Amino acid sequence: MVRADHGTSGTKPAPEQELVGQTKALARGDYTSCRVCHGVFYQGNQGVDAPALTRLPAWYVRHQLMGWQKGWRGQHAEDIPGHVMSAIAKLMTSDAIEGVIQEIQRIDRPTLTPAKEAGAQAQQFLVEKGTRAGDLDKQLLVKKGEVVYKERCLMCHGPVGGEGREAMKAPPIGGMEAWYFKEQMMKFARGVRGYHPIDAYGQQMVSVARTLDEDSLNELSTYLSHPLWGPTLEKDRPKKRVTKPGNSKDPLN
Amino acid sequence: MNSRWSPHLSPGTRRWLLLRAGIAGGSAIVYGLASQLGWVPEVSAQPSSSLKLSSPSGPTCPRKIVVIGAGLSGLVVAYELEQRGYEVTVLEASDRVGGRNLTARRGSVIDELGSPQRCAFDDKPHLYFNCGPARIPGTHQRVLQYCRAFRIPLETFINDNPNAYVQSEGFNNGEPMRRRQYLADTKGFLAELAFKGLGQSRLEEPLSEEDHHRLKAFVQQYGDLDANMRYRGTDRAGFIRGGVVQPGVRNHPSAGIRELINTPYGYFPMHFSETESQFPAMMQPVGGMDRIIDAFVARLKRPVRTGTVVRGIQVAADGVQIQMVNKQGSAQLQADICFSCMPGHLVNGLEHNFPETYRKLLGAMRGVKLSKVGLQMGQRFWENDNIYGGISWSDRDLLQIWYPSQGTHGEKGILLGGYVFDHHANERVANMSVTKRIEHALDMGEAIHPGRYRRHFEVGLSVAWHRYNHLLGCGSGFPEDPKEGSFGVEAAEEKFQLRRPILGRYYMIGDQVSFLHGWQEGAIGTAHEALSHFQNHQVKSCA
Repeated sequence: MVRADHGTSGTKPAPEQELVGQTKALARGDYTSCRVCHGVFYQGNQGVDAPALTRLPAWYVRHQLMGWQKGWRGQHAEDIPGHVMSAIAKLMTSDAIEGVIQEIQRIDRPTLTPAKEAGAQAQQFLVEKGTRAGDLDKQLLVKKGEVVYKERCLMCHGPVGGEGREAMKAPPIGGMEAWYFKEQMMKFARGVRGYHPIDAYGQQMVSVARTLDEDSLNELSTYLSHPLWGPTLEKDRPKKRVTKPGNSKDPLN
Repeated sequence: MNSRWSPHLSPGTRRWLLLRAGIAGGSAIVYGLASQLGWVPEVSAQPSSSLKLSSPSGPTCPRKIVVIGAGLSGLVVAYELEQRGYEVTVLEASDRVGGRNLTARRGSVIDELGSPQRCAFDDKPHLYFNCGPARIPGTHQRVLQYCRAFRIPLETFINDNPNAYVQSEGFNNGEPMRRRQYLADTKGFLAELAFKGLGQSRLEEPLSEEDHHRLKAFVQQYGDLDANMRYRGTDRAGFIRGGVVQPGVRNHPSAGIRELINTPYGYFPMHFSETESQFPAMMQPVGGMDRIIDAFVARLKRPVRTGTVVRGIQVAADGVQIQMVNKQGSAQLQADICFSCMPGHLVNGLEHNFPETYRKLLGAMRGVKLSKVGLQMGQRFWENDNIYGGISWSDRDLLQIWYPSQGTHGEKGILLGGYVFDHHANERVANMSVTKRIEHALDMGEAIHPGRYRRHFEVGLSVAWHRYNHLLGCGSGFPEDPKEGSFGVEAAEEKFQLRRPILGRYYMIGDQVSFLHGWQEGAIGTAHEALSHFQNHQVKSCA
C-alpha cells in the first residue's frame, strides 16, 4: 500500500512493511506460495514457467535466491518468469530461504494409478499437433547428447547423475526438464541470463551457450531429461502411494 | 498502430482464421459436431431457478461432493447441491473465498506474489475497489438471477460516458478531448464522406429518387450536417459555454477525419461499449462485487475450508480421492464426485492421475495477464468536470480511468487508475513496484485532468492478477504463443474436451472453460452445465 505525502506530488512507501498474505505465511514457515508455481511437491510446472526444484542441492538454491535478491539474476527486461521470481525472492528472509530449502529436501511425492479407462476414451478425441522430429530417434539423440555432455558440460557440472560442483556453482543438470533446459540455454545465449558483471559463472554459461547449435541443444535436452536420470536423488524417489479409494477417512471432518 | 488498441488481428494468424470461421458460423458448426460425437455434455442455458437437479434419493446415488476452489463457479455448484441435500466440502487453497471476485476496502489484503499490500482506503461504504469483476451486463442473466434470488441490492454501473475523455500523444496536441466530441466529429466527417460517395457509387439495386431523398436525409441526420451536406460541428459535441440562459456556443469541430484517425482511440476503444458484454446498461452490487460471494457463503451449510491446499487428485470409476494439506497437517478425502475451478495452468503442479490427453490439454493452458490500479482521491474533482461514471481512455500502458458509479457527490472517491489488457504492457506493469505503478497511473491521469489528479491522490493499490497468489492469472486460456499471449482464440475443441468429466467423476468448471472469459456469467454457465450433466448421467440413473 502506498501513501501520499499530502499536498505534494510524491508517494512514499509505508514506513514499516506489514506482513500480509504470502509474507505472513513465509514468516511462520508456510511455503505454500512457493509451491503454487513450483508444484505442490516442487516437481515443477511448465504452465507457469516454474522448474522442478527437487533435484537441486541446497547450496545452489541458496546461491540463486541470492542472485534474484541482489539483481544478478532475473532482472533482464526479457526475463519475464525471472521478474516474478525476483519479486518474491526479495521478500524472503534468510530464515525463509533455509526453511524452504529444508522443505524441498524433505517433501515426499506420491504416485498415483493412472485413470486408464478415461485415458482410453480421451485418446480418441485428442487432436495431436504433430510429433516432434526429435521423438523419431530418441535413442540416437540420447547417445549424441551424452557425447556433447562429456565434451562441454562434464568439467563443471560433474557426472550426470551426481550433485553438481559447488566450487564452480554448477548445479546437477541430469534429469532437468527439456523445456526448462532449452529455455535457460536460450536465455544464456541471448544474454538474458548471465547479464550481470558480478555473475561470473553466469557469464561463463553465456559463452558456452553461444557455441551450442540447435542440434546440440536438442541432443543435450533429450539426454538430460531422459528417464534414466530421474529420479536421481533418494529423497525424490516415490515412496508413498495415495491410499486406495474406499479405505480412507477424512480427518478434517 | 499501437497493439494495445487493437485486438491483435493480423491476417493469416490462426486467431484471425478462427474469427473468420466464427463469423461464418464456425464455432456453431464445431459445437454441433462435438455434440453429435458426444464430446459435449448437455448444455444448460437455464438460470438457477429452473436448474433441473434432484436430491440423492436412491441408495446408490452419489452424495458426497468435493469442490476444489471457492471461486464463483465452485460456490454455485456447492450451493445448488447443498440445497438438494448433498454433502458438499469446498476446499480453498488461499485464506479467502471468492477467487477473482475481490473487493478491496479498508483492511483488505492483496496477496500478489512479490507485492503484498493491505488496502488503506478510508473506511467508508462507497470507498471500495472491485479488483476483479466490476460490472454486470444486462445480458448476464445467470449472475442477475442469483442477485435477484439472494436479494442483493444492485445499482447502475456506468460503463459508457461520452463526457469522459480520450487523450493520446500526437492527437489534439496531446490535450484531452471529450469522447462526445470525438464521437460527434467522427460521425459528422464520415457522413460527409458518405454523401460524397453516394453520388459516385453504383449500387447493386439502384435507388429510386424517393430512396435517394431519404438516404440523404438519413446521412444528414447521422452526421448532423448542414444544408450543404457539410459538417460544421454539432450540439452533440457539447457546448464550450452557455446553453441555458445564454445561447449555447458549440465546441469547434476537429480539423478533420485525418486528425481523428490519428489516435488509437478510434480503432477499438471507440466501439468498446458496443461489444457483446460491454453494452449499457450494466449493473453493480451496492457496496462491492463481493456481495455476491458473501451471499453464497451465507447460504452454505458447511463453511468453505480455506487454507487447504489440494496436493493430489485420484479419479477412479467409483469416486475421487483428494489428498490435501492445511495447518493441521495432511489428510485425505473421499468423494463421489469432484468439481474443480482451480486454474487450469496450476493443475499440473499437483499430483493427479488424469489421462495423458487431459494432462496435455492442461499443459497448454496459461494464465491470462491482467492488471488494475485503484486510487483514492480526496475530492471528486471529475464531478465538477461533468463526469459521473464511465471511462476515459489513454494511449499509455495503463489505458483507462474509471469514474465511480457510486458515492455521487459524497466525500472522496475511488478511481480505477489503470486497467491493463495488453500482454506485454501487463509484463511491464507487473514488473514495477506498486509505488511505481501508481506513479504511472498518476502520470496518465495528470495528462487527462491536469493540475488536479496528482493533487487529490491519497492512497492506492494495484493488482496484477497474473501474479496473484494461488491464481497466477486472470483466468486460464490457450494462447497460440505463450510468449505473445495471443489469447482470445476460442479454443473450442480444447474447452469441450476439458469440460467432459473424467470417468464421469471429475468436472472442470469456471470461466476458463467457457466462452466468456473473465466474466462471472461464464463461471456460472459452466457450473450449471456440469450440474446438468451430473443430473443426467449420475443422478437420474440411481434414483
